Amino acid sequence: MTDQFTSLTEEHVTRMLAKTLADNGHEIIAVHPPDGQGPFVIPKSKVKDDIERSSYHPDVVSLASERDGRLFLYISECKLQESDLGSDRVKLKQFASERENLLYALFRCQKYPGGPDIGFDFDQISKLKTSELPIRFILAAGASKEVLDTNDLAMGGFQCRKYLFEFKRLLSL
Amino acid sequence: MSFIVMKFLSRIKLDQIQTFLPQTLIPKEPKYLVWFTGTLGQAEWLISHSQHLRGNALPMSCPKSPSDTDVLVPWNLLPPKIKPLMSLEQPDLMVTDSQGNPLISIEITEQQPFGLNAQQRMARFWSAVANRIPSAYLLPIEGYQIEKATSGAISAFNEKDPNKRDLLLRVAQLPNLTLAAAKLAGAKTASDLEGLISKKLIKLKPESLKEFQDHVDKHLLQKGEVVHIKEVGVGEYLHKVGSGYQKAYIRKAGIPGSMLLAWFKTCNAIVPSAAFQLPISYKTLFRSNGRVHTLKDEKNPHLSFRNLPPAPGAFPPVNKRINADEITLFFRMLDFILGKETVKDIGRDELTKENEFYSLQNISDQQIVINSPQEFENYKSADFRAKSQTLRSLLQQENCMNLQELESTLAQYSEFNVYKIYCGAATRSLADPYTGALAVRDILFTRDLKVIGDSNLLDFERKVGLVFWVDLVKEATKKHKFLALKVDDVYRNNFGLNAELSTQGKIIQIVREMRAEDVPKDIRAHLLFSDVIVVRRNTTRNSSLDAYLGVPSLLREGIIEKDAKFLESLRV
Repeated sequence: MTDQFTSLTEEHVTRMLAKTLADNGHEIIAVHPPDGQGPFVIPKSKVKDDIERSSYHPDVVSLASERDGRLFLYISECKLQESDLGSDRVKLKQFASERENLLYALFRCQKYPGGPDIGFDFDQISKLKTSELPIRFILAAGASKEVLDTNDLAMGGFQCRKYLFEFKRLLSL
Repeated sequence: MSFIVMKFLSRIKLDQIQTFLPQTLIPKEPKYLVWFTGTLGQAEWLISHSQHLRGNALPMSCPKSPSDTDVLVPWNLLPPKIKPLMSLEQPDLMVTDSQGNPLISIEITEQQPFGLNAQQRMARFWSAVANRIPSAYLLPIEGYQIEKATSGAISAFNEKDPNKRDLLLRVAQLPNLTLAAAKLAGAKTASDLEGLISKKLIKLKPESLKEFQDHVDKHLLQKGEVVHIKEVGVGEYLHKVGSGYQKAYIRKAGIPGSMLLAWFKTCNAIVPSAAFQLPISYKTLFRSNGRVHTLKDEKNPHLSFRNLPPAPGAFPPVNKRINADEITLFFRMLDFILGKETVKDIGRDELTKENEFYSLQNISDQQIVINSPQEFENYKSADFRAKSQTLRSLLQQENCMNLQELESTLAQYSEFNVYKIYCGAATRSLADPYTGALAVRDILFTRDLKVIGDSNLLDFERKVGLVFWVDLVKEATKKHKFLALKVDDVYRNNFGLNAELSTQGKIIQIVREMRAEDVPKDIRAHLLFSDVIVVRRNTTRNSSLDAYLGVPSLLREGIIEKDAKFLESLRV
């Protein structure tokens, strides 16, 4: 990252990811800015290696349907630079390894009378095997060259996509 | 290259100021500055929706303490007049004019006041009120909570007959209602029950009925001039999530919220001070405990996707009479103040009306009246209202060695509020939430509320004395540094070693010669607000007790002057 981009922060990446996802049909559920309070909180079931806090606050949470109509929950983590994504990979992998976490995230995105138009039938979802839960992960960062929506290493059997936003474009936010 | 020139700082390059504001909203000569210690997003949300700030203000990152150097304007270059608002604690947002004169102090939180954390931020407001600077607090006064369910609700949830299950769950949701009372009225299903409730055919004992009916009217039927949040549907009340059960319910203001609202009502007599209910929507019950945010803002794209409160007008009013939503009313207050106008009706009277969100009974319940020293041991932590004689007896009984030094203070008041806490961990800081909790007690429990509008809070003219009483137990008994060892550290670091000087002597010198922000937070507010600070170290065989005079007593007795550096640093 050159000097002209020193004013960039992780919030630029978080906001650009949310905007890009929204432009591509995602419903944004929550955005958690650095140093801010997170609206979408998943309590940690047990502290093994403390990831970050006593609860888990994903940077961006969104819902999107596949062409066949299947709805997926996307949990995203952002860093300013791609080289810093390692800790987020560890965090997401650990998150994905616990069925309780995954179910809790889906529980938060359920449909109910008087609730949102888009969401899961949580009672049905709860009956699925862990590997069948409709969850995907996204890692995003700034980079010198933009590469959007590519495959990244799977997280505990769940698909993970990667978004790299060109620093110059992040500045335009 | 554009610069802004400020009296307190030679000049700042415009491009040094981090912002997402579009060029059209960035003034070359700002009339206002919005200093933030929270998030940049909050500052820009404020600027974008205020008539006076939009296009006329810049966000300025503010240091969180004198040692915070990772900011554009370090502590020593801050406008001198905003430092007093930051000396006890740092507000989320402060609006100043371009010369750094403070105009309003603002807090925004999504955390509902609950338990000890509820009053954590209140010292920030105290500093504003003491300097007659208006303040505003945006928070969920009542909100939805999702947490692990308890056994009673779980057994209702596991009932096989769906009609019976829904009835049981609805009964579990409503305060003081029993299944027997519901059945006696003829309810076989949840729907029957709701019909009976709306016809007021449920019979309960008078004291139970009052709370039950209040809840029903506010949350189930949503009657009244103030719109409260909707009761959670029976089907959404309980869920099995993995191996556990989660319960979604309404968390009301309770005692902490009552104290907080009473604070604003009281302080509003001194200077405009108001709390506003952050919008809560049933639609986002599970997604965000009902909190709502600006997600995509077409008019202000720079505010999109930043977890900010909604725009004015985006949600329905809470106060039906005034017919404007809480965010609109918040900005109305802000713009009145920035426009140097009197703050006209912003609908706070209904919100702070007795029994709307809070009750005065709740606040008086917080204080336990004791008539003998023995009663003091019935609670590990609480507020006690004690006659001066009772407090003296208690201190005597505990072998307080310097009781004589306290006599003048004990004689000054006929009553004391003794705020007793306990601490069992050697390294636990006593900064939060006690800084805010003491600021709340100063206003609600010690002042003469009839004359508070004319009073100068920093003179500490009180009707009731305030004692901060710490019981150090378990490993804290021998190892915790509060208060004497901490005072020793501060003294040594600032004045050097002095083995001859007593702890009380060191406190006096600290207060006379140090600015408040330079005194560590874990003793700062305690020295400021307490007439007496008591530290009791409990061991299994015996206990020891030390007591010290704080600023209000030292000031009253003429041991320190009003211009002591500690006090001066708190004055704008």
